[in-house]
This record gives sequence, structure tokens and C-alpha cells, in this order.
Amino acid sequence: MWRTRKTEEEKDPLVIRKEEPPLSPFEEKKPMEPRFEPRPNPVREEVVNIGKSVYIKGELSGDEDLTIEGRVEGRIELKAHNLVIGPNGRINAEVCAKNVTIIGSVVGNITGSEIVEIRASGSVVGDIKSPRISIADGAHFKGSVDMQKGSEEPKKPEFSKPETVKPSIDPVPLKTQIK
Amino acid sequence: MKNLFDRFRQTGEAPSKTPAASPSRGRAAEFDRPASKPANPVFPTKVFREFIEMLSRKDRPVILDLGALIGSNVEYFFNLGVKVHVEDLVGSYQNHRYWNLVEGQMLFDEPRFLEENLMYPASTFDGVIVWDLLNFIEPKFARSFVQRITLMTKLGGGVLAFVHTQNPQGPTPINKYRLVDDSSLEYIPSEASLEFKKTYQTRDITQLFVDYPGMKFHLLKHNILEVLLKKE
Repeated sequence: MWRTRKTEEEKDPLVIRKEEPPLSPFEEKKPMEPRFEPRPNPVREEVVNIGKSVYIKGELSGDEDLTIEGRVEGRIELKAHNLVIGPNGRINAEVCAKNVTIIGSVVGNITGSEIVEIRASGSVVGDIKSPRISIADGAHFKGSVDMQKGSEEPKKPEFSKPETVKPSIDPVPLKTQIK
Repeated sequence: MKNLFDRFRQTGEAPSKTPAASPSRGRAAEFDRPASKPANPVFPTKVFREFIEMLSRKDRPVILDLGALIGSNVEYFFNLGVKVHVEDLVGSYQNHRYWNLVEGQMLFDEPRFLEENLMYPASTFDGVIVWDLLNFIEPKFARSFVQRITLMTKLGGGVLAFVHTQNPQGPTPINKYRLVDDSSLEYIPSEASLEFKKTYQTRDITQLFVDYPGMKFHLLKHNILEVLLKKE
């Protein structure tokens, strides 16, 4: 199938498009064919899959969507892309991506810039920071969920300071709220 | 940051549970789940709204949910802007690592359980939700459990508990409670194999939670006592 590859080339500077010499009058005009130059790192254009036999230790970062079925230890960073931890995925790492979907297992903190989802078979042990979350029935989760990035860890208060209760703005008496 | 608590304060409307939606979730969007209707009995709750109101007066409230994980409950509080810590004590309590056979008797390792499951800094939480765990843990462990929770709760914070006031007839599983809205709970029997240990009455709660001068009790028709305790 003919596919334009302009976007790809802009992303990956290693792809070098060879200039075609002009056809001589004695050469047959070849039919239009898709031309694919060999690329040093052949990857799928849209989603990269890491198979279940693969074990990666270290930092994993990229600029495209990623599905992991293998084991990763360390750190995973896909700031503007989606990460899916497949049913066989076993992650022991800090995770940072745009959308994070856990169907396998993650031990580590997760930061999603859009949403973090834990499916029914998913398991997370760690803290989640994201503006949106979704946790399915049957999922396993131990940790905390927080909407705000960069929130501080709980620390000991000063017992000498009394707690101050902020009055609510435009308080509405409870009685009027009962339907 | 403006959140749903602001709307709750202004209008008195509790935030409805809306499914998480994001237009750019790629392949994950294929597995969107439809909203589920309660498949189990739904009972009213009177204290939950008060608990939420109490949280709404806090700046960036933090709560600890100690029951079996109900994802929609976590989402509910999360969407209110509450930071939610989840510790599934129902699951942990059954873990054989905390039970030792000593002279023919199974003894519960309280210090280890507390150290591995409830070791948060003092005064961390504005709210702690115990659900009906008290009825299903060893009565002698209940005191150290409550002491630990008290230490972790901030001054002005609160503890929410549901306790059975009558011995059940027949095997009674510990419940999971799903928030249908801020005044209704779906009671879901869990698969956990915890044995019912003890009923609690108002006076038992008063004696157990000595550091909570503010107490509100609501006895529901099905003999569940809803308790909201404020540490002041």
C-alpha cells in the first residue's frame, strides 16, 4: 500500500531518501511501486510492542505509543504517548506517559498526563498521579491516587499549631441540600 | 485549584460519578467499560454526606480507605479532589504471613501487620474509612488497630465505620461497599474468608474510640450502625 512517509522522515533523521536519477529514453518506465529504504532501527510506525520474552533493565523512553508484554526494570518515559502494560507485562519501574493502561502488573509510581487506568486483571503497587483515573472492579491496587502533580509526601505536622478550619465560600445550609 | 468540592459547597450538589473520558487513549479506548448498575442490595447512608462535608472543609484533603478495593469509590473521592490512599486490609488480614501456629493455636502477628500495612506518619489523614472491618478482626487486636488509626488521623479529622450490632444468622461475609451516590451504598458480599468475630454497640464504640469526642451514630434498619467519629 502506498503511504506517504514525510512525517516519518521528519521524526527520524536517520532515514535517508536516495535521489532517483532521471530515466533515460531507453529505459522502461517501471510501474509505480512503494519505495522503502532500509532503516537502521526498523520500528512500527504507530505502536511498538515489547514481547513477553523481552527483559529490559534501565531507562526506556520513546516518542511513540508502546505496549509492553515483557519485563522492565528501571524507568519508562513516554511523555506524549500512550503506554499499555499488557496482561503478561511485569513492570518494576517508575512510569511516566500520557495515557497509561495497566492490564498486567506494575510496581512503581505512575504519572499520567491524561489518564491512568487499571483494568480488572491489572495490579499496581505504587502511587498514581494523574488528572483522571479509572480502576476496574477486580483490579488490585495498593498506594495512593492524587490529581495534582508534584504534591508533597505526607509529613509530620507541628502539634503545637492548632488546626485552622477555612470557612467555605457562600456556605449553603445542609437543610436546603436535602432532596 | 477549582474542583468539585467548590461546586458542592456552592450548590450542595454532590458530584455525580462520571466515567473517565479522554479522547486520545489510543488502543486502550477499545476496552471502555459501560457504567454498572447495582446488582446487590442498596441501602441509604446518612453519614457519608457528613463525611464528605467534613472533607470539603479541608485544604487538599487526604483519606485512607481500609476496605476491599472498590475502584469506583476511589474514583469518586479522587474526582472530588481528595488524595486517596488505599490499603486493602481485608486482603492483608487473610495473608498467612501474619498468622503463626503457636501451641496448636493460630495467633495473629499484630506488630508485623501494623508495620507492614499501617505505617504512615502521624497525623497524615483527614479521613479514614474503616467500613465494617471491626466486626471481622480479633477483638483484642481492635484496640491497637484503633490506636494506630488515631495516630494517623489529623486533629479535626474523622473516622467512618460501619458496624454490625447483631450477630448474623449463618455465615456472614465481610461486605464491600460501593458508593452509588453520597446517600446510598451498595452492599456487596465479598469472597473474603473472614469470620465474623464480634458485634459492636454504641457503648463499645465509645470505649474503643476514646480520643474522638465528636461522635455521630445512625442505626439503619438492617442493624448496621453507621459511625462518624471526629478527632478534636
